[in-house]
Amino acid sequence: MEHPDAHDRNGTHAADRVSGPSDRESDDEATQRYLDLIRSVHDEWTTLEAEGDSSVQLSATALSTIKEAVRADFRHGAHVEMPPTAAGPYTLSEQALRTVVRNAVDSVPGVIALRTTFDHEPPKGGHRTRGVPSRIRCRISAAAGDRDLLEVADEVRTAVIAACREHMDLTDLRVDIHIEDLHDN
Amino acid sequence: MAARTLVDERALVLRAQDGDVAAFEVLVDRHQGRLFRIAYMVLHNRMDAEDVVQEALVSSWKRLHLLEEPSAFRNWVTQIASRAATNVVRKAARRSTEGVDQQALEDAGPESALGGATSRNVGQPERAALAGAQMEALASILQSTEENQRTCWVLCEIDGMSYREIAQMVGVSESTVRGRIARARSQILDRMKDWR
Repeated sequence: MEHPDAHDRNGTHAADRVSGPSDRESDDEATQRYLDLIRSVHDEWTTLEAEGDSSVQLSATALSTIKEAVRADFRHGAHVEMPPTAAGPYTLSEQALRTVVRNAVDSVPGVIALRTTFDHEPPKGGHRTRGVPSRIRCRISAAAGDRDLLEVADEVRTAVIAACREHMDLTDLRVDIHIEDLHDN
Repeated sequence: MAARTLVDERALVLRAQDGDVAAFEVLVDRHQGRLFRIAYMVLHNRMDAEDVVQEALVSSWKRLHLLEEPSAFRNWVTQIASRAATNVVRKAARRSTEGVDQQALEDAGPESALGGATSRNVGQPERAALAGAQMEALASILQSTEENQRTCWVLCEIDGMSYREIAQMVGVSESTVRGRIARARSQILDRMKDWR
């Protein structure tokens, strides 16, 4: 409480140190204006962004630049040795291999591929390539429902083995399936 | 395409880690506006904010394999972007002893810094001006706060992060974060009194 006509040892009026009713009202008002401003800015940005307004997000050019850079990086990934064909040895990009496996997993109804890891034989070529894949571990999400999860895993394994044989002639391959998540169908 | 229909962010991140570009593009579309908002509020310059978000997102793609917990992607990419924005502020401060040209910021019209009037705004000049004025006023005031305070304040008040999350992201204690935000807020309140 403010003491009437109070001065401290330094000659400062107590009103300078202790908030009186009018100061508190002023502070409350300022705080309210601050909160209103924050809320208003949030509302405005959210609305404008939801409407696709270009002023509150990256330009189409900037977005396109990001996606181009990512795709360029994607194309320059590592290569993996494949079983030799009659025409000789060849390699495949790791991303192409991953895409084949991912598509095979996604082809099973109710299944979503998550992340896959590969074990490789020692490479026969240069140190910049990886050897022939010997083991594949697929982490997947399966639709929650009445399907037997072991059956789902077997179906995914069969699909991956078939795709690897068909597209890359990979026959001596161990495929492990790990159902990591369940999702609503 | 499976990635386009995925809602679960963790699954999107795992697929992106697997090399699914389409999944990463969904993440880009989902986070770019939020990251731009943070960068813009820290930098108060549309071009710089765009550059920062571009670099942050491309960098996050290249470093995605390092992210051990996919569900932490949101905070992880925010950290990359906010650090990049803070670095831009520091570099600008080093380049010029005058730092940010406060007068130029204050003189800037409400439509200029966010890229001018948009086609949507053309038919609603009053709303566009109001929105611009509020955003611009806040972004302008923020330039007078110290850069560490500004970043903490933006992450808290604009992005809605908790003190703990900010502390982990910035690498300081929660009490330090609380202090920085309180000081920034106090400065903003002081500057708001000058508007009248």
